[in-house]
Amino acid sequence: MDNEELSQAFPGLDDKRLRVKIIGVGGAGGNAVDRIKLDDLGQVALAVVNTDTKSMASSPIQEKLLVGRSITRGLSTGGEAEIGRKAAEEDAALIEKMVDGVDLVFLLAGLGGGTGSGCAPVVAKAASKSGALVLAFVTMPFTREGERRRKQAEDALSELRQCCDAVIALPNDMLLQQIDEKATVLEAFAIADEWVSRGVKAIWGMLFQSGMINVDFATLRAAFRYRGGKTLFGLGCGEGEDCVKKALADLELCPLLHLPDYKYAKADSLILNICGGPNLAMSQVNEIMDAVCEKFGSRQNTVLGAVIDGAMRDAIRITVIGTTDVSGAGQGQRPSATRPAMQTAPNAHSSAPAADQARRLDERASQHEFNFQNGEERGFFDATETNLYNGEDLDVPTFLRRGIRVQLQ
Amino acid sequence: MAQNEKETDAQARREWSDIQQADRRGATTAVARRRRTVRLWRMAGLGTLAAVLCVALVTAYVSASRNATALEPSAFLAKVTFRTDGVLTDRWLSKALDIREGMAMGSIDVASIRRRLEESGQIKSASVTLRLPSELVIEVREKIPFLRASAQTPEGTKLLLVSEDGAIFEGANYPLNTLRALPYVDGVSFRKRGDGYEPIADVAPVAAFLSTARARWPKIYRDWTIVSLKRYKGLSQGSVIEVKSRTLGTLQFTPDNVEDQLRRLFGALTGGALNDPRQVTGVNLTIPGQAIFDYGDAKVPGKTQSSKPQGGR
Amino acid sequence: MGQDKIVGAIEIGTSKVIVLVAEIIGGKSLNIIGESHATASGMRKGQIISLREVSDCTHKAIAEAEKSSGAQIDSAYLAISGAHLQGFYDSGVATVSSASGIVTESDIRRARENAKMRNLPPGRVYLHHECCGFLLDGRRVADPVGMVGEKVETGYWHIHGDERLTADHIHVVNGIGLNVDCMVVSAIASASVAAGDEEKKNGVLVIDIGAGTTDYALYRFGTILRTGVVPIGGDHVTNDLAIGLRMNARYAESVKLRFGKGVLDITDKNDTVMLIGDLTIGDRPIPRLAIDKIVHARIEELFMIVKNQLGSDLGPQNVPSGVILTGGTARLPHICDAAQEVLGVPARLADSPQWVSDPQLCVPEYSTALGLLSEGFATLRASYREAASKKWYSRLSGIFGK
Repeated sequence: MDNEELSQAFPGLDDKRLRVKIIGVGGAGGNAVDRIKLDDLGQVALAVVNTDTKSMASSPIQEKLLVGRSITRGLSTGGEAEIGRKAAEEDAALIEKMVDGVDLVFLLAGLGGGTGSGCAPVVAKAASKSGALVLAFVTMPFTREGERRRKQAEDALSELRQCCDAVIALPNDMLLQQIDEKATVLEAFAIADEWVSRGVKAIWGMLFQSGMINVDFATLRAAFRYRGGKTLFGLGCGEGEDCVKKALADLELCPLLHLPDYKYAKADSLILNICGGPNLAMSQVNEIMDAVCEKFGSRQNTVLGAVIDGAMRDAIRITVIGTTDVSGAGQGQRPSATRPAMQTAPNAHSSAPAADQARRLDERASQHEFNFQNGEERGFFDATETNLYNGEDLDVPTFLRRGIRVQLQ
Repeated sequence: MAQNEKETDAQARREWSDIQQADRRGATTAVARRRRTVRLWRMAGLGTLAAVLCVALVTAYVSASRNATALEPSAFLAKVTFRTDGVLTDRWLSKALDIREGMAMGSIDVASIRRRLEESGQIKSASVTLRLPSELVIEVREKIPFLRASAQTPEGTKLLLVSEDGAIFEGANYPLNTLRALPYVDGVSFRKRGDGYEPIADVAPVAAFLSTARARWPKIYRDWTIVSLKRYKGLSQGSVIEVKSRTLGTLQFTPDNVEDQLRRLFGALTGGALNDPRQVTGVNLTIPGQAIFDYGDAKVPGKTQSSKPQGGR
Repeated sequence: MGQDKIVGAIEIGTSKVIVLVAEIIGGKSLNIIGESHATASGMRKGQIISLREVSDCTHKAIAEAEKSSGAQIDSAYLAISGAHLQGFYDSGVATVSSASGIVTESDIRRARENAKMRNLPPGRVYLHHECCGFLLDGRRVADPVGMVGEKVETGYWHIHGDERLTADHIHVVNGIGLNVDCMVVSAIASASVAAGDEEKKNGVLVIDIGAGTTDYALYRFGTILRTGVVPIGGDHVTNDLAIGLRMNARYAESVKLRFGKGVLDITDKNDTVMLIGDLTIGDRPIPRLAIDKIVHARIEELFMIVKNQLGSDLGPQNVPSGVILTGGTARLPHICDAAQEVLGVPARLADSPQWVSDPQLCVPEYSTALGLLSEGFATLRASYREAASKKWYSRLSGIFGK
């Protein structure tokens, strides 16, 4: 990928003038943005959208947007997604103004509640309409939070999938597996925030952090050209001498990446970001690239970024984000008029008939199997009706719903 | 709402057995197709076998019962069996029909043989069967003649016979004595029809009369030479059968109640009332209760004898 | 009507299609003459998700079974299960019509009809009506005909299912050119062979844990009191392991078979096992406790759901003969302990029926298919007998009528 050439062809996409905004919607979304605020990202604007004056007041973020003042009178939505939606729709003009001119929007929200489930799709639609690349990181409620919240979250999730370029759903049940047995729910939420911020930082890092291999915005945009599908998201960390191997092993065990059958776990478009210390070697990058590509997609479909973080020392962090083409080539993509960069997509470069055909052959399988990477973790039973009993989907592993911690090490 | 309820009613109490089952429902798979094909072939095979068997049976039956005309040419006629209730012989048969032993069985036309036999005149009915592999069986019933006639034909005088049903035919193979015993018929005209002659109508009462006479009063019958049907009009009023007797001249009978008339005649002849039978030129028996004797012109005229039948058994 | 025929008992399970071919001689005796099983595909939780795939493997199994028996199946018995099955109890009452108060067959018939009056919502069909015995003036009697009383009551456990799904099931069999003569609910099929008559009389709960569904039937007084389906089975255990241990389904299945157990075993605390076990690349150690936790959580939940569904019907006084487990997942070690722990009644594994001699068929996986055969046979025999007794009855009433 020749970045220079790209920049010349599309001067408007110059990195320097790239506007990125992280918008937290609702209480959980606001908290997630707060966490990111604590780390210094630079060049990135932060914003929160909420209906609740009180929780907004406690947020240190500068740009705050209170919506639906006439509906909630500055109070919470009471967990009603419908109220959240009305609140956002009422202040649609303000939301549009907030996302106006932004190139990349990270949308952070906790689904299940009223504001998160109701407002997030509205914000996503507005941002998408203004031409921004919208990446959403959302958390799915715990099973024990009940049937109604689960339903609201699922509805919002499917809506978001239609209007965002990528939606990464993090089931809280699953995140709970990552913490200690005696941890409180608050700590679990903190873990969720941590995952979100790592995902955001990985993409931000590729664009802005100094590194060996940077990715320009057009490439990123092209990588997210498939809409409506489920997004693969995984993290792996390794430290010390064998950091590459450890990071890869950790990635493999990442609960979000876990697929019942690796064979089909291919993404149509994959973003791989490697973050290492100053002594990150090109050979290490290649090793990781090989391993990841073999597992998740072909080299041609992979956008690689490798950044150096002084604080990392001898640690390596791998972030994988993949999207899949759910409805065959073309559908679900944005209109190409708003996406001049699409022509330069890695996949478009390699649109040799053979490769194209291979991808299409793989499509059905990958689409089917990729559904496994759903926030609901229904896995094997994905094609069947949900198996509801007292508001719980029985196909979801019992230990996840019960919050039973399974330690693998 | 109401409609909804109705729908529910219509669907009420549906059992699984109400679900329609059909061969072609559900997905057809290669295995199902193969199984179906195998079944079809098996059925077709069985069907063909059954059909072949049926055809074979029918063929065998038909050929056995009809003595198939369409036989293979390798079978030849070896024997002709001829049975009759009359006088015809094998020789007559082989002259009348052109069948020879050694001819192909296939060329024998049973129906035409039968037709030819029945048209030959003397034969009342015939049955012709082929008995496989090589025998022809012909059974005939012959007509029985009771009168004879001499017909003048261009070829000369020809003897014709009259059977009890009135048919006129040229007799064959009758012994001369039998023919001589037959009275001649007179007073009828022979009309040609085809190869033969038109039968005489209503001749059965005459036959019955003659056979009664011959059986019961052979002495009287023995002298009868001609039976004239000139005045015979069947069983109707005024119908008279005239018989020429060698000894009694012309006898007149009515065709009904013949036994009584014959008894009267016999009574008169044996009662001693007769002066000299040789003088008698005729007896009229047509008037009930009387036997009127004619004695020619020179003898006792008008002498009648009212003879009560005597000792009529 | 000829009573000699070849019947096929077809169970389209979630993991396996089992076909048994049997020969009915003189309408009296039943001989198993052929068997086949095929890996099922296109089935999840006892329901068809791909008609084509299911047809493919079912037809293959039927053809295979016919080949092994050397006979052509004339009619099919079909087992049905799945989450769409539901049951309810309904009773019917009839007052004794005769002046002497002697219960007659017609009183029973009226009571039976009254018990079967209820209409189903659109799209549902009845699959089975199980008579739960008779009450004569509130007294439980085995056969009230000829006894004296005022009111005779009978109860039925009605099982109904989704019409479309049921039709799909039937049409799979129709696809190969066979008609379904008899349909048996899996729960009843497996329970009928897993429990003995004495146990059924005393009260027993039979739980058949298959790959996709768990079917149970509760017996009391020798008849079925109620049945149910929980759409959870061995596949769920495998899937849980795959997700929890982050491995593919194939390895998860093998881990389940090798190391799975129904209870949490404290001695496993520090034990680890190898995922694949042959030292290939990708093999890794797994804490045994992790496996135990995942499996136990699922099994415990399963029995909990059964317990909740049965409610007060389940209890040591109602099921003195305890719980009998069968089905493929019943092979999971210590599953009886888990059942006992949750359900509060003693549990044991099912014995195989006495009339089956083939050792290959004497495994828990075959209990549904064997039960299907015997139940289907019994149903058909009952219908013969009914036809025969009707004649007999009308003759008898004719004599008394004079």
